[in-house]
Amino acid sequence: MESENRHKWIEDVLNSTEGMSRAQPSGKLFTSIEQQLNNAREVARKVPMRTVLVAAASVVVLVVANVFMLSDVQVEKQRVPQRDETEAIIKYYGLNDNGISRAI
Amino acid sequence: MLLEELLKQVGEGNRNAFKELYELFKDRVYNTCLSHLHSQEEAEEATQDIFVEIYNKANTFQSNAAVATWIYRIAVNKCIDRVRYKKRHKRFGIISSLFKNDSVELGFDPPELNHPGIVFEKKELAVKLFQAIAKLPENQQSAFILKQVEGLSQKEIAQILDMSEKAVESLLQRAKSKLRGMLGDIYNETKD
Repeated sequence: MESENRHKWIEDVLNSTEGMSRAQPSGKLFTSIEQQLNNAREVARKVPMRTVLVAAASVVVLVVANVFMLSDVQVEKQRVPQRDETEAIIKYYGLNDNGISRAI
Repeated sequence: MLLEELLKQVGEGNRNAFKELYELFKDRVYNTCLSHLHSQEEAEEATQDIFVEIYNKANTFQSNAAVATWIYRIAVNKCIDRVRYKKRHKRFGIISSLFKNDSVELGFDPPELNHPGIVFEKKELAVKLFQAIAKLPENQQSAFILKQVEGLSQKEIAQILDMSEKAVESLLQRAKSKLRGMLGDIYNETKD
């Protein structure tokens, strides 16, 4: 009996949408939709093409400048020390041409 | 006027055609949203987003699908996105609450839906049904809502969810069997 009641209750719940009608959205909804569409159009219209082009050009300049800077750093890293730099090191540490310190 | 022709005009920016299309589909879209989201306010927000998308994408409509199917597909996808967002938000809330002492207790149960279109004597039972539907996996949930609440055929549901009719049939069977299990548990709880 209990299991029958249980089964009936479950079926009643599953069929509880029978005869239902559709709920309706508020009457103001279409106005809100139109407002959202108009706002989107306004935003698109407010940003002039010139501004977009200037922003794009600035980004390109920045990227190019960064690429140049980075390639300069790479070249600097790979550069072999020049003669005057070697001489400065010899002078600083007091080394003679054979690499033996005069102080010793 | 044919729906395809109406949608074509919407795609060309005709606001009168858009209003006409809105009047034809607003209840179907709103009800689908309400059944998924369980809140009238959220269902209205989702309906608004859906119609904005319909307006913006009307020129991309391909006539190999029915207009109603196309609109339902947009609606179901938007609703699923919103449900996912809510779940993510809730999960994040739970995680952050672990680090706060003064946090409020977070419930896992979806909000109760008192659907305004349900016949008065069945309202209490329908609340239980929608509570159980919300716990189904996403695709079972959408298939069941489209079948049971929207009254669509399996063929239409298959087109909306982009799957075969056979797949929809098995989806609905699994959904019903899961619902029976969940409702059985609810019945036992109320009897205890």
